Amino acid sequence: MASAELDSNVTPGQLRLADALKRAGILRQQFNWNFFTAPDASDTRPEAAGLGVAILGSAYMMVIVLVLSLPIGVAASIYLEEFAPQNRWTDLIEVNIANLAAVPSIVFGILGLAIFINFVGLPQSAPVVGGLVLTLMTLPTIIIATRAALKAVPPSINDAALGIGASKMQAIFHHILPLAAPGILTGTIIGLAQALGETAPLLLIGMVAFVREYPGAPPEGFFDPASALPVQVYNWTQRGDPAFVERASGAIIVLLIFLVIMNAIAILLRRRFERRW
Amino acid sequence: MSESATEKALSASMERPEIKMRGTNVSVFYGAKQALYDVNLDVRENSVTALIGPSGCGKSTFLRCLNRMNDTIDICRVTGEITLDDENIYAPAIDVVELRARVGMVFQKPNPFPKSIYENIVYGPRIHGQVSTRAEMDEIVERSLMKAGLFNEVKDRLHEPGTGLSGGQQQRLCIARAIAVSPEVILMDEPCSALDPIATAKVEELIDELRVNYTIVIVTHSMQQAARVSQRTAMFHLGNLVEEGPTEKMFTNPDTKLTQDYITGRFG
Ligand SMILES: Nc1ncnc2c1ncn2[C@@H]1O[C@H](COP(=O)(O)OP(=O)(O)OP(=O)(O)O)[C@@H](O)[C@H]1O
Ligand SMILES: [Mg+2]
Repeated sequence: MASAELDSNVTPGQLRLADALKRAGILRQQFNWNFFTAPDASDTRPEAAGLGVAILGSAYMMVIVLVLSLPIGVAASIYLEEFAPQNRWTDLIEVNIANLAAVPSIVFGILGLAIFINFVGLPQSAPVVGGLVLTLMTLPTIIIATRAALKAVPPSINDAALGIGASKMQAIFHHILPLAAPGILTGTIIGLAQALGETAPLLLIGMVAFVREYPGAPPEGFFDPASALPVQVYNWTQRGDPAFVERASGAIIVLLIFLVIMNAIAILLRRRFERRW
Repeated sequence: MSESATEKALSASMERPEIKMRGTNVSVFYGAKQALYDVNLDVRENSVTALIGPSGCGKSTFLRCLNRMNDTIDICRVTGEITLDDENIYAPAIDVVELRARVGMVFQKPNPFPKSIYENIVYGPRIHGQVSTRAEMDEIVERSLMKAGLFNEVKDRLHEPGTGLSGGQQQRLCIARAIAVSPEVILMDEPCSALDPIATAKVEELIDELRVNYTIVIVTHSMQQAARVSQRTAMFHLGNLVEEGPTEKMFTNPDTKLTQDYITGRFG
């Protein structure tokens, strides 16, 4: 009550009224589905704030990350693993891929700001820019996982295919890649999970803005302003009204549930398709 | 090929041996290291040629030259000439894929694809466009497995994984897979070294039968095996071809002391 006294949103009178209504059975507590669907709300209406825009924005970004980083990552891995000559250039590329995986994420944010927004001129706060930045961050993870998966396929399979007259491409696409697929998928899901929880680079490209409008349907919607789950958490912890702290806690739980589900799928895939030679 | 045509071909090849593959001055380098020195060796049609010699002498290296499997090793360089039916297989115009369909290979360790037995067999013919309909595939699976002496053992589980078979069965599956693309030559690199004596005997019997229709080159460490299955034997030592001749002569009256010593087990 003491803190409510200071709070401009709710007066002690209103709280007492709410208690009375509850006792009378007119007011009750229920699950707040609005929390998942409603957009963010202004400082004076924390009760209306929801994760709708943030979930949509994160989903859009994950789609972009998946569509870009999986094909590019797998293609790069196949090239490096099966076709690239062993020389100084490929060594350099390999070292750099390993290093990229360890670069602080905020650096990718600055890169995105400089290139995608300032140079290319893409809109701020848009999932497309966030997706591109997160793609850059996810690529090394996917490449490293894919190369490990390709390496784990025994060379005897390659020999077998070539020995009956399959071309190199056929050996890769008919035999090696399918056998490496579970490992690649696992790596991809873990990469996506990392990207989903990534906050710092998104702050730099303006995804922390207050967005009340749902982004449109893709593909145009990729260019509309949107928020993202982890950024929404950060945003709510910065707001004045204590009720936003509860919102933030709720949003963190939602984010964690997504991450647990993704990692569980990765573990299941690995268990299900793990193969010993 | 009908029975009489086969016999005719076989008797013709006995009168006037046809050279199926001929290696002339074949040298192989792995980087700066030379593994074969000017090897001249003929492979006769419809016969089994055994390559013997101590470990590391270049038997596998020579074998892998015959279907250009060495191309897959970056640092490997081959000089000299190898012909298949008088055509240089290292000529630029040669399509390696087509060559490997004509010169099949069976490896030391059985390496079936982790797919069904059926899929293992039809894969080769399918990528070469030799079969397209279901009936053709069924037929080639049955025919290949039959020739490899495996059909009766696996006919009830054609759609189960080939990796679930015993080692000997897996190796015969690999032979069936090689046969399925109708090669002219089959290369075998120690095909029995991972098998027990009974499975080995089965594969040896099979090799003897296959000789009627195919030309076979086999690498082996077992003198008895070379003596049992081959018509001609070539002895390698430190990258050189020491001696080559009819198996019987090689085992009873070799020209060189080296061969004599190796065959009698005094070294190697
Ligand atoms: N991929 C490779 N890279 C470098 N050197 C190789 C490679 N493969 C073989 N060699 C070398 O070439 C030589 C001949 O090897 P090869 O495998 O032909 O011998 P082998 O007669 O088949 O022996 P084994 O009976 O043990 O199979 C050996 O000295 C070996 O070290
Ligand atoms: Mg060998």
